[in-house]
Amino acid sequence: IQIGGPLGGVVPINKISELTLDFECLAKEGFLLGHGSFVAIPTDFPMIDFLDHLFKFAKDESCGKCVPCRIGSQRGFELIHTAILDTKDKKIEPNLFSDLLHTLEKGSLCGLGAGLPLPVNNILEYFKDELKPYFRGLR
Amino acid sequence: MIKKAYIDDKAFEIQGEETILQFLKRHKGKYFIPTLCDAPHLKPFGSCRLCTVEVIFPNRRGKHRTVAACHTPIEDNMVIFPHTQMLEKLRKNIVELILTDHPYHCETCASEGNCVLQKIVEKYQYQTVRYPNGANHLDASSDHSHPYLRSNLALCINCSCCVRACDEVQGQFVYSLYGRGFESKIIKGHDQSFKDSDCVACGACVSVCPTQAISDIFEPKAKKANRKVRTICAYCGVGCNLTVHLLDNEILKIDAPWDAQVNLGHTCSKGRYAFGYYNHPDRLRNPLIRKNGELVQSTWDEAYDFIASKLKEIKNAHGSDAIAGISSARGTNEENYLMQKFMRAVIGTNNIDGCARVCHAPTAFGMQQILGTGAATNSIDDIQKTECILIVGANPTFAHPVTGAKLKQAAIKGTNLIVIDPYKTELAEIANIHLQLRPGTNVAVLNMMLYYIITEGRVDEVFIRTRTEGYEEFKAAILKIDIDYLEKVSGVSQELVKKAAILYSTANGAMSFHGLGVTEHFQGSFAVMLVAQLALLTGNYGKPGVGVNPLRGQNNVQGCADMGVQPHQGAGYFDVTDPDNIKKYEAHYGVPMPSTMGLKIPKMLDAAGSGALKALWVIGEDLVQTDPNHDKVKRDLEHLELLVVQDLFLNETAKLATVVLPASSAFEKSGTFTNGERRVQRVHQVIPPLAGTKPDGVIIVEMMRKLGYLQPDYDPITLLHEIAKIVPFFAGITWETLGEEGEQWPVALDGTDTPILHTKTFTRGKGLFRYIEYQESDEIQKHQKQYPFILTTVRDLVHYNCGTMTRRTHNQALVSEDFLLINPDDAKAHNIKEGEGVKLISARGSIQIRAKISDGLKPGILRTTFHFPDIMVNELTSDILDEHSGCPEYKVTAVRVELLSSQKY
Repeated sequence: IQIGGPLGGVVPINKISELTLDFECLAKEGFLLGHGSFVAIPTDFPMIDFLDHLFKFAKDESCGKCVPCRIGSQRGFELIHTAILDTKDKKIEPNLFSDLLHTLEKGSLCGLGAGLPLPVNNILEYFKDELKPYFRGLR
Repeated sequence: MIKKAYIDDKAFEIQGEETILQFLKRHKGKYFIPTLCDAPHLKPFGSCRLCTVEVIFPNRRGKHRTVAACHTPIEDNMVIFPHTQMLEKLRKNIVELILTDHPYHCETCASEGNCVLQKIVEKYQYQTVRYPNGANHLDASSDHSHPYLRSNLALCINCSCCVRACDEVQGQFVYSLYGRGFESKIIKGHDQSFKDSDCVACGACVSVCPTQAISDIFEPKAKKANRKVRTICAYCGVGCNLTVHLLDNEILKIDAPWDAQVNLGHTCSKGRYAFGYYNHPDRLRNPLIRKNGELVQSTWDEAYDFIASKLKEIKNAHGSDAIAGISSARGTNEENYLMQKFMRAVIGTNNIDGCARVCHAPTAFGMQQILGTGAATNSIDDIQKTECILIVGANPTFAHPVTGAKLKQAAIKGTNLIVIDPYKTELAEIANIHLQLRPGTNVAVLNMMLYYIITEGRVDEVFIRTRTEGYEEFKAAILKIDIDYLEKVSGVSQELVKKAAILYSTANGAMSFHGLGVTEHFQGSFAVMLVAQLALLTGNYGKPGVGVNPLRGQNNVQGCADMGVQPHQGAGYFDVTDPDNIKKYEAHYGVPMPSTMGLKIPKMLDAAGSGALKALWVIGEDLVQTDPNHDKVKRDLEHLELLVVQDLFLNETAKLATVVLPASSAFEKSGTFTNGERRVQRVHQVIPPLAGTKPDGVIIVEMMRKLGYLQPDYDPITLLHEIAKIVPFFAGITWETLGEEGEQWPVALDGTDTPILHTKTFTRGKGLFRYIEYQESDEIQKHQKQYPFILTTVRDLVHYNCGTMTRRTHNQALVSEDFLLINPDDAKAHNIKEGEGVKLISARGSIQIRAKISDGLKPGILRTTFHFPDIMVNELTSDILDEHSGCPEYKVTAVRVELLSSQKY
């Protein structure tokens, strides 16, 4: 379930029962209440495609003023997109990906670039096994 | 209480309202924190994110945040961690992202060594960019359409510095960031080339671009400057400070020091780019003497001997007053002082004048009458402090571009602006009120304004009572003016003038600027007096953001008159016919002084024509191209026995000379220039005189010695000592104490200078009110029927006066001919189409010129520049002069228009 908007946190279904619907609880668990929307993602929907969607959303919405968001959202999208197309040779370098998320979070001018890493990190944390084929040595 | 903040664990003082970045740079130096989108005098933007720092906010319960230093204000007791491990990693990763869309080959890049990004890349020692190749802008096309400016947007990092410089400094709004996100890119105009856009080639964008995505032709990779010299621009009276970058004695490029009070790093297309004349093949490199009707090369000794014997011969046969000199407002104060000393103390005549005669002599005279001092009352910086700007007869964004940009910025930001001008100038277009009067009716419109300020009860009664005289008589007279008649002759509605009067008089501080549209008229001095009286009536003197501020034309036209280049006043403005002053000058110069008033330039020409004047020495002025009634000027000069012309080029006057002396340019000598706000600034020699040439000052000194006067070598340091002894307002000026920023006269002995005049009393005691009646020029009265159009001559942005310098630079490629502007209705009535050749005929002569259709003019009014001798606009202009100062009426010429068949043009 993605809670709180287009860049809201992605909560695995088994965690839902542990949460209460308030700012504090969701924030404490590394999610976001945002505007309170729920988007249910079918269990058979590949989470790499959801990552692809998140970066596409960010790059399409980026105004282009600051470097991290303008270029970072584009490069993140390219990394994931090419990994989907070619899981053999175009695997994502986890260090580079983590540097990119850090740059977006700490460097972006507004909440769009700075907010993108939250759902991405949720997915990396809770859907690691599913993502392993796309990353080089994901631990 | 002193506020402080901590950089890591050390406390530093906070100054005023500054950002964290300004605070860090001030204490730790310019390169302490890397930035790409921060530039001097531009507002914080926050796009590159490299200046990100970690901060503890004491006032927000010790909150720890990561913020961009450039747009975060510093707070008392804030703790800043500028270089944590996290930040260094972040910066490195940000730059890596930039490099994914940037040609990553610094060593082969054209901007190598001249790129902020390159310096940062070197600092972070990148080995490779880890991202695989993705979308990029590396195939962006480059723009070579412009004679000076270049763009190569493959190098662009989207920092928006160019957009902001164009918007915030020049106010031209050429650049935009088009599109959004990764697709966004810099465009010019409607995605046009430099040439087709509204670019005015000020170069502000080039000066701030961190990568040379925007650059100019003066950044060749092959040549690197090995020295820099700070000096003053030799074009207009704004007095911009320049930094000249040289490779040995070759000028590579010119930019401006960011800290210069006058221009804060800004310049115009002339100051920054039009320097190519300095070593142009056309520069004169030998003296020339006319032999058998031809000018032939000679040596300096030959030329000096020839001139000396001729001058002696003429002086013996006809007396000293048969000789006259015209000094140059393009030269230094020291040179102008020497030239008038040469004429007065060595030749023995007061026949000395300068080009102020044909531009701002009415300002000097008119302001002296009303206030006692004929100079700007305030400083240009006061534009930031005023509530209302009144511009009369001036087009500052063209003729004084750096001041023009400041005026434009003020108007954009909401300062009220009134423009009185026959043409819809760039500033008139954004003005609150534009009074589009018929040329020649300034006195009518100004009287209407004075009338309404009184009838609307907006006068400053306390100021009038305590600081002025003659008000009651003035008031009685002005209340009797026939306002309906003045409305009719000026073509400006009473209602609009009333609005302007109210806007000007209700402002808490109103500042006026005027130019040649006020002075170059039959009633020029009178109009200046009225502008000065508008400020008297409303108490607009003696404080910041007020006053009367003539926009002086030449770089040193203020200094030229200050130094005594006037036939009626010597150095320091003392009347040369007053016996006490004569004694003072005699004691100073050690020789007897002439006691009769000398001739003004137009009278010199008349005297040459009548045979009374036998010899004329002209420095740096092209009388033939720039004085009115060209044919008469030429005939007059041809009567002279000796015409000495001292210039950089063989100009139209030099072609008639008996002797031509090759002078050195302002880059080739030292001295001082005084700008339009009375700021005396040091001009530093940048390169040695071009082989074969000599600085004007050196030539005059050598000639003075040749004629037996022991004048020491030309040296600004010693000459300033000599000048300080005779010019009271230079009393405290020395070469050393002038410093980089110069000083505004009067400068007291203790070194205190004067940004604002007339703070307590006026120089003449009380400000004078004097009613002046509007009178139509003879030109219109006599010729209106036969010549129904009024032609007014003006200046273009990229050319300077007669164009001897700017025509010998790439500015020639920007504008290569004079055009006639004509109203669309008039064009239609005469069947004239855009770009067609027309014949203009006045009572003096005729010219052929190409027409451009412009809705900036009212019907019946025409407008042209006069920069090109092959068109010779001054064939048309008249001999009518301002009766007080002798300034010609360039702004009103009655003409007739005829269409030329295309074969003829």
